[in-house]
Amino acid sequence: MAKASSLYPGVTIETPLSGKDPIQADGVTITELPFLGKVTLRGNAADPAFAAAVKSVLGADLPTQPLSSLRVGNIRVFWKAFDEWLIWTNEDAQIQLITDLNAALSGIRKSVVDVSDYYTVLRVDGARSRDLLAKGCVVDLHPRSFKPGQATGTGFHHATIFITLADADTFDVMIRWSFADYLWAYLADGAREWAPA
Amino acid sequence: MSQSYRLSDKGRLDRSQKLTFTYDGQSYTGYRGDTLASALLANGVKLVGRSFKYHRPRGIMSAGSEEPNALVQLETGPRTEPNTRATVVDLYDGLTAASQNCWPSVKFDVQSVNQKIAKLFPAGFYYKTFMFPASWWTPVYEKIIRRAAGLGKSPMERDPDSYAQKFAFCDVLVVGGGPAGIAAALAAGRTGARVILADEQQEMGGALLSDDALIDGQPALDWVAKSLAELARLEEVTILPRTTVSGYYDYNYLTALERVTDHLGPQADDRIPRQRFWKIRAKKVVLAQGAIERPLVFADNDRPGIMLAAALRTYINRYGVLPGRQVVVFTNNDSAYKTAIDAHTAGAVVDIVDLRVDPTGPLVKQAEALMIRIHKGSAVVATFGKHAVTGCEIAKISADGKSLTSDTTFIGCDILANSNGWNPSVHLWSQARGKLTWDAEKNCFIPGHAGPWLPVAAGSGTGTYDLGNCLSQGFAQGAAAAQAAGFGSGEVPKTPETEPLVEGPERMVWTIPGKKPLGHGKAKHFHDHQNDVVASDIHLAAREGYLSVEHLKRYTTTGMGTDQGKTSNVNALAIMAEIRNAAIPEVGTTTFRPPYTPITFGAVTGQNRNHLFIQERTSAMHPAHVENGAVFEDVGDWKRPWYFPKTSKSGVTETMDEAVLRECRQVRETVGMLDASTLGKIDIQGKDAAEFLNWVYTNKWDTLKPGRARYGLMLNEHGMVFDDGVTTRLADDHFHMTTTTGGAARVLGWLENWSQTEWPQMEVYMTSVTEQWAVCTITGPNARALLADVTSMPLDPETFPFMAMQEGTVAGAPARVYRISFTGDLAYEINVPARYGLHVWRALQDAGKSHGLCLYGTETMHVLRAEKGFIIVGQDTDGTVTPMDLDMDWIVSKKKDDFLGRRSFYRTDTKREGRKQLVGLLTDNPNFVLPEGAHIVEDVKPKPPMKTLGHVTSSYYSPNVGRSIALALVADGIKRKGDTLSVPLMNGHVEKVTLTDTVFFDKEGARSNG
Repeated sequence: MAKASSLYPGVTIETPLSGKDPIQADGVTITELPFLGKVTLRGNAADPAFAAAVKSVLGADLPTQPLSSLRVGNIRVFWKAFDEWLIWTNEDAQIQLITDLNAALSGIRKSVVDVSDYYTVLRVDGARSRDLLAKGCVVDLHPRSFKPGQATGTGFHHATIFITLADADTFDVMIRWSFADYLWAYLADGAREWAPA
Repeated sequence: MSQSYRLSDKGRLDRSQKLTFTYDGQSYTGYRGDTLASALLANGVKLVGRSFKYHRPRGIMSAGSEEPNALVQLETGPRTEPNTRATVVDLYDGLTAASQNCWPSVKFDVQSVNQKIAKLFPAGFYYKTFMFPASWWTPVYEKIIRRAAGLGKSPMERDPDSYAQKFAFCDVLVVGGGPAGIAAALAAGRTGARVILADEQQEMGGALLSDDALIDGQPALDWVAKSLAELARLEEVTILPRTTVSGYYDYNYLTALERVTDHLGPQADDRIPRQRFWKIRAKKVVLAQGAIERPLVFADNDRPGIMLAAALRTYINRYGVLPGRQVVVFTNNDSAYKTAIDAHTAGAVVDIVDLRVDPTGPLVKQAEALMIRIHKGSAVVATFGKHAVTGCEIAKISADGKSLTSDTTFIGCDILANSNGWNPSVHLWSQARGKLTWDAEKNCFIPGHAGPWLPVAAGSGTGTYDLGNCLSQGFAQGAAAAQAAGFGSGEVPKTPETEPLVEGPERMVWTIPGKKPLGHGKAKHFHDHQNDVVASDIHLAAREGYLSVEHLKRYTTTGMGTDQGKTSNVNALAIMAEIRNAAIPEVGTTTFRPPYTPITFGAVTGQNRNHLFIQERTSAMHPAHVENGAVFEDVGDWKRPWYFPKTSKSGVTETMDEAVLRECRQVRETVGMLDASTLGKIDIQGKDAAEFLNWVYTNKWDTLKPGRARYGLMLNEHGMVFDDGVTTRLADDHFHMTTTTGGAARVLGWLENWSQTEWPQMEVYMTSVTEQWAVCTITGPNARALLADVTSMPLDPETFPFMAMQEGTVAGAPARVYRISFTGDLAYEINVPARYGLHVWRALQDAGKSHGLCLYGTETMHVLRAEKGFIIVGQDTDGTVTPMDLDMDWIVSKKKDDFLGRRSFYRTDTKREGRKQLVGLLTDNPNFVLPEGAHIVEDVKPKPPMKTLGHVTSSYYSPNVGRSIALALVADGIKRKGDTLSVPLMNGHVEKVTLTDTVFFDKEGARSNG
């Protein structure tokens, strides 16, 4: 979705899926969640100073259980590795967050990197979302084994994805900019099975 | 001939749905529920093909996926499918099929002359005949063999259907939907476990579909229907009919082919996938695949109308077809008596020929009570009939089963059903690395020691043929599997009442004697019908020393082909065991390999074709490149603009050479713009970041000031160059590294590896930011003026010198601008978050109009960097090149104690004379462009081998130098500069070259200042 930047007058901003209409099939829809703020945070969770500093910004403890995540207001924080987290924010909210994290973590071993444009996020929603994702996603997304808030990096044929269950049948799939078109086309092709005639 | 062999009162057919189909050009009818095979038999069609080698007439031998004979070419045009087993093709309206391997027609086949000259085609014929000269193999022999020994024909057009894959997970996978499989699925499903029940047939029920058994006093199929209804109500149970589990791989990963629409025929609308390829991860696997009947190996046992006994029973009971009027049932066991009884009841005249002298058991008694003639202690020793069997001769045989002890008697027949006992389907068990055990009582291989992923088996696949036992095994294994997967208490459901199976022993005669000794006369004892291998071939193999089962298979082709020996393997082993006077398990079995039955490439491929075959990675500026008419180059998975050809007003488009020459000139004359977004980028943060870089690069980084950039070479432990790039210090503890496009992931892994395993004490984190940043590189004399039009940053060389970085806005968007150069000209690499990439590119393109801006691609980039002698890692280096070999000593710090690769500079091999070193090459003919890869020699000989001194790594025509230029790795090249050497080419031309410096253009390097 191309649109005018709210931060830089006269500047048009794009996503890798600019111009694509959502896909609607019987039981599943695919839409882009464009321009989400995305931040990679790295640090030592076992260091109380690091944990406290991050908590002072986020208002919650970082998730330390593998594949877990938490939600604080409009922020979602995903465990990615023992020393790495991915944070999603509303559009442009990552800018202040990065400033705040860097300030709070000053002098503490850390890395805070804006990766908002490295990736985009596709939302796959509906009763058939699991059937559609099972055409390429190699992790078990059954409600018994993949619960709301759970998140993992995995493969989808040639692409590397990061997938989380936002809500009952609502999956958010993060994909690299350069692979977004491939994943979109794959899901669109897969959803033809349930497409209106 | 309108279904004149159809029974009016039998079969699981929907007679309200009459289907019309075409076979070999003739129109027939059948019903919904038929297979192509049952419909052909209903219409009296017995001859369906010609055999592989001898072109003998062949018919339908089985009623299932084991069919070796009835291979047909299904459909025509783009949907045509060769080698389709008529026995597993569900009939649909409009189906078209044709026989294979016969010309001009199945009844008159030219090559059936092979039968008459069969003596010339022994086993191993190809190996023996088509040997010399070797050069004839491909052009002559292969063509002959391919035409003569044909199976079906592959489609030549694009497949119009769609296919899908499905990644599935379950607690318990049950393979096979017969009584044991259904029982297992019920027991597991009731616990709440996630269960997949897959069966290859159109209907679940397995052998019960052909049987009249009772369960709890009711027809067994009522129990099947009730059970399936219960399974359908269980939310976590998935029932997959028409789904063949084709492969069993490590850690309970199994594949299955679901035929979604095949039974409906070609679909006009391809939205529904024709087939779906399941990739299943199961916690536990229950194998309940049933058993396959074994044929008897007797003289001329391949005529159309000769079929397996249980298959005949299936055609009668399940498909309502009695394919003959006079039936001979030739058996070594009791189970075939059921066939005889059902054929008799259906109205056929039946003779039983039983190898056993004194068969006993209730089925024998029942047959006797029905007044069916039983010829005991007898065998079929000859058969007759040209296009279908018309009769056979039987005789008494000796106690050792080797000879005839009576005169022969002729019996007319149009169906000869035979049974040599049963082979449990142990294919998946064996694929899962389970061992097989020979059961000497049941004369078959049964599952033995389980493979590492511990599947369990149930039903007749274990050699258990009693229905009650099959059910109780299924219930027990299903409950245990569920419990092992964490569901249920392991409690086994009660087995319903069934009538116990009482059978007498079998009599094993692995080769039925004929009227003449084996291999004499014209009679053939086929054990492998698909590959036309006969018992005498096994004797020949043994005589020639091919005693091992693996040799036997390859020498005779036994067990190869689309059926993979489902009906033939055990007979072949047994015959070889007799010859060797060994026990059958001593001969061993060949390895069972996936797939269990043939699967289509389409299903394996799934959606991964056309635009989904491989990803096309594109940058944020890609839409502009398309608008600007770029021709793209594949760089890894990336589509990068290669060059931008212009089209003149008269409609003539530049060639690549013309476009590249123009782009090369114009960049150096005015200004050019390149999309450099694909370069690898790594964000490095931490207080030890500079020290870390000191270790991974050869030069010093702690001395670099924030806001400044430096070029670096990265070496592996062997001291060899493996990546390069410019890295910029953004702050004391923050660097922005660039890598080659192809090296990005490798470099990040390399850095993480050293950070995590060797230097965990260093406080540094790496984060890939390759695609976060879109990069517009502008370069050329007008670059500064162009940039000044779109930014308010100070651009004067004092404030913004070469190898510096500034943050600000470009065209209104936030940017990091790096003043670094890969062309040697004044250059700015404008990095913006990808969302702004297209906007900034377009703004620069607009502003560039007044500065003579030219868009250029990767080819011009290559030429321009070569003019300056800048290397491309991986093109000018190959993993054997040190910085010194590149004449880049200057980048190797003498002030650092150590860095990765340094130690290896002291190895004798890296210090020695004669190493290949990077030099420039100038050809004698300034217009001659050397091919890259060409060898450089001192002494030219008339033909290779010649001693090579090195090779050309990069070679272009440079319009800015006004001649061709090349880079090369040449032994001792650096000190040989000025020498003239030769480059002999494939076409005989020898080009003289002079070794020079690697910098061809702007040697003093003044242009990078603008």
